[in-house]
Formats: sequence, C-alpha cells, structure tokens
Amino acid sequence: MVLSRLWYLLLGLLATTAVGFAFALTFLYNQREESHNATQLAADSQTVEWAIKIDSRRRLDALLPLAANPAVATHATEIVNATDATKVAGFRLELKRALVNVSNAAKEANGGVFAPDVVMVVGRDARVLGFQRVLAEVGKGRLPAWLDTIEQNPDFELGGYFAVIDALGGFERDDLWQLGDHLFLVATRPIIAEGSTQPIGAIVGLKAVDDDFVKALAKSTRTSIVVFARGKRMSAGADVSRDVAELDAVNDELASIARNTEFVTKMRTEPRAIRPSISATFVRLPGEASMAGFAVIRQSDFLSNPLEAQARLPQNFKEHLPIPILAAVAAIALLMGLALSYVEHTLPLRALRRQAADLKQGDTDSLAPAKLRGVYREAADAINDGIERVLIKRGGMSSRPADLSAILGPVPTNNPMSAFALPGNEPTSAPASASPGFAPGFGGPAQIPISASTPPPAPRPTSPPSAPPPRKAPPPPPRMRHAADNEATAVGLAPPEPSRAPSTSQATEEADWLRVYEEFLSMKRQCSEPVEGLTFTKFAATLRKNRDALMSRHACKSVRFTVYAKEGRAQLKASPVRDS
Amino acid sequence: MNRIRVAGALRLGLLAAPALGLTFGSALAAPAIQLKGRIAGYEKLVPEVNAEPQRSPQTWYAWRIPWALRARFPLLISREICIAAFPNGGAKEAPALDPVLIKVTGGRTNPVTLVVSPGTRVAFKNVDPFAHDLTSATANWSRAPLQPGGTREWSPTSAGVSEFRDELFPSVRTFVVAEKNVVAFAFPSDRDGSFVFSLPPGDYTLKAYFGGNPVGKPLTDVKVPQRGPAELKEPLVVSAESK
Repeated sequence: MVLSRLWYLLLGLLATTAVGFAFALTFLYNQREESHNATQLAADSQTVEWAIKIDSRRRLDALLPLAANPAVATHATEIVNATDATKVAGFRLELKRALVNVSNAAKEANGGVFAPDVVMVVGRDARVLGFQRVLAEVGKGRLPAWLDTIEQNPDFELGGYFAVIDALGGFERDDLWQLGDHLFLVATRPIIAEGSTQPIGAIVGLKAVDDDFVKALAKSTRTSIVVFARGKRMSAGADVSRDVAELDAVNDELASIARNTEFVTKMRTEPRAIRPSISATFVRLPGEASMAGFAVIRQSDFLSNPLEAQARLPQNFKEHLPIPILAAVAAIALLMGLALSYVEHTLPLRALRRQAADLKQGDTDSLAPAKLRGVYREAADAINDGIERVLIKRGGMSSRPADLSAILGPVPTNNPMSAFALPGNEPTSAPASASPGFAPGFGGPAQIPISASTPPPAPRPTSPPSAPPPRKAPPPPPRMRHAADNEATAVGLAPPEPSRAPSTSQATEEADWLRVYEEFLSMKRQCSEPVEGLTFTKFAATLRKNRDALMSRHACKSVRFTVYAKEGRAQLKASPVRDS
Repeated sequence: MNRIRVAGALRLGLLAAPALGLTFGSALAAPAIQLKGRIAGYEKLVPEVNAEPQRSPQTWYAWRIPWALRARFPLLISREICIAAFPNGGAKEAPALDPVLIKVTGGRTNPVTLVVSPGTRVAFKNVDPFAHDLTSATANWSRAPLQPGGTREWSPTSAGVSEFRDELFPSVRTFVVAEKNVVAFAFPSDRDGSFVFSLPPGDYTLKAYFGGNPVGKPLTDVKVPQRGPAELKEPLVVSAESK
C-alpha cells in the first residue's frame, strides 16, 4: 500500500512539475517573444531608415537628368540674367517646355519609381522659375491643390529652406519638408550653366510621403509603418502579412513623442510597449520638418496560458517530438504502477482469496493473518475473531488461550509451584500478572512457567534426581492445522497422539509425566534456566494436584501436559482431555 | 572721414524693392539725397540657422554632397543683411519709421533682419500657400496661426532685439532690431552688394546688421551733401573679422 501511495505521490509530483514546467515554458516563451520583438523592432526601424536613405539617394540620382539638361539650364539662366522683364515670360515658357520633356523622361526611367511628384526650378535668388508635375496622373488627388498656384505667386520663394540654399551653394542634398498638412521627401541639385562654376539655380524635387509611398515602403521592408509629423499621423502602411489594425495603436503616442528625450536627441526610441501585445519604435527622420518621423510596429504573439500553444503549433510539430522517449516514459510509468498494484493489491488479495477458499472447503478452521500484510492481515484477524465469536455463541470450542484460572481454580496462598522452587527463593518473574487467568501454581505466564531461575542459596541436593537420565527431547507438540501462531492452550480435542493419550493405570500416567518432566528439564536447559532442585517427585506432585483439580472441574477423563517455551522460559500447558 | 559725393536728391516711398538695393524705409520728411554704397566681406557670413545643421548633420539630412566645383554657402544678402543710418551729433530719438512689410515665405522671412526705430509698425504677411505659426520669446507677441495671405502687425515698444520663429519651419528666424535714432534702413543687392539710401543732407553713421546683431565696421562719418546723388567711395565692410 505504501509503495502504491508513494507512486501516486510521485505521479502527482510529476504532474505538478509538468504543469509548472508548462507555465514556466509559457513565461519563457513570452519573455523570448518580447526580446525577439524588441530585436525585430530595432531591425525594422533600421531597415526602414536605410530604405528611406536609399530612396533619397535614388531620388537625388533621378533628379540628375533634369538638373543637367541643357535646355533647363539655358532657360533658367536666361530668366535669371534677364534685364528686360518683357522677355521673362517667354523664357519661363521655354523653361516649362523643357521641364515637360525632362519630366516625361524621368517618368519613364526605372518605371518612374524614383521620379518626384513635382519638380521646381529656382533661380539664384531662390524664386521659383518653373514648376512641373512629373507624376501628374499618379499624384493627382494626392497632392495639395495649392501646388498649382505656386507658378502664379510672384512672392513665393524657397530661399529659406536649407536644402535649396545648399543646392544654390553647389550641394546636392535631401530633406524632409512639411508644407501644410503634407509631408514631402525633398531632393535638390544645383543647376550649373555650361562654362560656369557656380550654380545658376537649383532644381527641387518633391515626393509626397502619402499612404501609397508608405505602403510601398512597408511592403519592401515587410514592416508596419506609421509616418507622423508634429504629433499628427500623416500616412501609414503595412505589409500584406501584417495586421493593419496594429497601425492605429500608436496614434495615442504620437502627441507626446516630441517630448521624448530619446526621440529628440538620439533620433530613435527604444522599443516601447504601447499595448500589452503591441510594441513600437519611433524614429525621427532627418530634415527640416520639425519632429517628423516614423514608427515601426510589431505585435507580440504572447501566450496567456500553456494551452494556447497547442493552437499555434505548426502542422509538422509531431516530426520534432521524441516519440520513442515519450512512449518509453509512458510505458515505464504504466508498468511501475501495474507492478506496484500487483505486489500490494493483487498478491495479498490472491492470498486472502486462497485462504478464504481453504476456509470454505474446511481445510483450515481460520485464516492465517501472518501470511497477509497490512489491511488484509487486519481483515483476516477480524474474520477470525468473528468466527470465534460465532463458535462461542453457538456453544462450540474456542481456540483462544484457556482461562486456566477458571480451570485450575483460585491461586493458593502457598505457591503450588513451590515444589519447583528452591527453598527461600521466590520466582523472579511475575507471570501471573501478565496472565492473570493462569494459576500461579504453575508459576508462569500463560501456561504456568515452572521457574527455577534463581539458583538456590542452599547447598545443592546431594541426591541426583530420581528420574532416569534425560532422553532425547521429543518433537514439539502438534499444533492446529491452520498453523497460526496461536500458542494458547487448546481446550478441545487433543491431538490424537497415542503416547499422550490418558492411561488408565497410574504407572502409565507416571511414565507420561516423567516424559513431560524430561521435556521440561530439557526446555529449561535450552532456555538457560536453572534446573537444580527440580525433582520429578515434586514435579509429579504438582501435576497430580493440577490434574485432579482440572478433572474435577471439567469432568474430563484425563489431563495432558505439554512443554513449550515462551519469552525465553520453559512453560507447561495443561489440557483437559474429555474423551479418548 | 569719408568723403561723400552728392549726386542729387531722391525721395523714396514706403516700400521699394530691397533686391534692387534701394532704401526700404525712411522717417525723414525733408528732401532726401540718394546715397549709394556697397558692402564687402559678406562672403563668409553664414546665418546661425544655416550653420546649425552643419554641426549636427544627422538631424538634418542623409545626403549632402558637394556638386559644384566651389561649393559654398550662397548668402542672399538682400534678405539677411540690413544697413541702418543713424544721424550723427547727439542721441536724438528718431520718430517711428513708416510701416514695414515682412513677407513670410520659402522657409524664412523677407527680410530676415530689420532695423527700425521703436514704435515702427511691422506687418508680417504670409505669402505661402500654407499656414505659418510665428512665435517670439522676446517680443510681446501672442501666438496664433498665420493663414495663407494673412497679415499681422506688431511694433517694438522699446529698443532691443526681438526674434521671431516659426513652430512649423525651424529655418525661420527673423530679427527685428529697434534702435532709438534710426532714420533709415536699406538692403544690399544680391547682384553686387550695392545699396541706396535716401537721406536728408547731414552727417550719418551707417551700420550693418546680420542675424540681429551689428557686424563689421560702421561708417561713422558719412556726409550727405545738399545736392545729390552721393556715393560712398569705401565699402561698408560687414565681415566678422573687421569688427
């Protein structure tokens, strides 16, 4: 039973450990997911940043054919150097035609991927000399309507913008402008007239950072991007594999991002959890547009409990399971459980069933608890007690220890066993107290130990015992068939031993007692008890006295005495014999 | 002492084209004499607002590569430099000048630096097709969006420098310098740095202002004759080294 219960405890501990391990793995997975997302966000932000830089470079390159176009340079020079205002309009018209031609060429180059939406030619004083929509068809509707009014606005100029100033100074340069509610990627290049070393003007290309642009950027970088400026969302886009809804998660963060020190000074923030499962990194874009930038967003795939992992396992996860090991563990656990159950349940039950069958068939009178364990032993004891109780109730004989006090009568004041004791020597043991039902005349527990444990202080008897020399010890007295450890006196049928059958003649009885005497002496010696002073005459007198008492009390024909050892001391047992 | 040759008199109205180097404003009622001059040493001047991106380029651009053979900062002196005329002979406080218009466009204002006497009305006009948001930490100026085509007036009440910025465009930094006895101001031409004043006859000091501060060496003894026009023989040096 104990092993089974230990096995159950072990199984419980294993199950608890497994569940705890599953939760620990869930925590570990979520931690890894968070760390992975942070790394991915950093990588995403770098990728988008590089993509925008490369895009700016390509736009600068795409502007070169326009800036280096001789017609554009010539007509721009004519306008700048015109002293006759009446001719300026003609020069502007010529410049417009040249811009149309180069714009069409730019639109066709590389499929127009890096072509600007709008190009403007500015003079040395940064006033706009020419304006042209390059991607008019594509840009129509996406670009602000006021762009078309620039040409008619004589006060409009671009001289304050750093990119234009730099282009007029001979630099090619990129920038980011926020004009009204629109964000533009700007590329500027100087226009250098033939034979000159200084720019006559500059060409400015604007590309609107609208949803189309950001969607293309998100698709090429496989990210989710929100572009913002001054706390306001300008455009957004997500790769087809990403959840578009996550783009809205950053809206609440945009208003305060301009106050973020990392964003302002380091140009980017660390990944920030903006919702329990959504993180974002904010990157400031370089340029004149104040506090403009983009946010890359990632949604974490956290597990709320271990069971969620099952739904997210890939189809081929079984290929990665150590099936043999799992099967072996399960088989070992099963076999261990079965083995312990067999040992602790099946075997005792079988033994009990076998004993019950023997009892049923009459092979035994009772169960043998000694052959059983644990609760089965207790059950066998209880069954035996029940059988005894029923037998006694119905007048049958009991196999319980005989109540010798009832058999032998009250204990005499003078110790009946004094015949066995040496003069002046009292028995050291108190068997009567251990078995108060036995007559102290036999001087021992249970069945009258005839004690001579204390050597007599008096001189040893000079005469040897009158008894004949001791013979070989007889075999132990027969016991009941059930072989139980019941050492009590059997008040019932005596074993059919002819040698022990009561004799009608006194000589036979005396011979029988002599045999008992010899057995008693032998037993005392085996028990290392003193035998000095224990003569057959005294022994026989005591037996006779007790025989008479038992015969008169139980009306039996004879009394059989047997020798046994109990608790390391020789004992005598008197059994009344009712019939022959 | 500079010798001034008087060529004639010329009275200018309130607003003239600063790019042409003409006098932009004057508070004088007396017949004025045209005084021509030119500035020198401005090639190395770089506005602070343009110098800042070079100190922290990662904040401002990804690519900035010299393309021309001699790439340099092209200072548009007609917007950036303002020359003010002060009468010599006493600290007499000049009356307010005629109203001055400052156009907001192209990522800055035109002019960028303006020198006037206290009380002069200054009008900011947005000529861009989108809104601006001018602010000032030094002037008595309440913040409000300046819509396209909109105008807003302001005048300095005392001497000092008032700086205006645009929350939407960091390149906008405008300086209005109020000096007590300014009688006229002018802007040099982008073409050759020449400028023209219309001043009554008398002795004057000419100072150049750049980025809200005086630069170069003032011309302290400029005599405007009774008959003009007159022309300064020596340029007004505005480089920082000549301070």
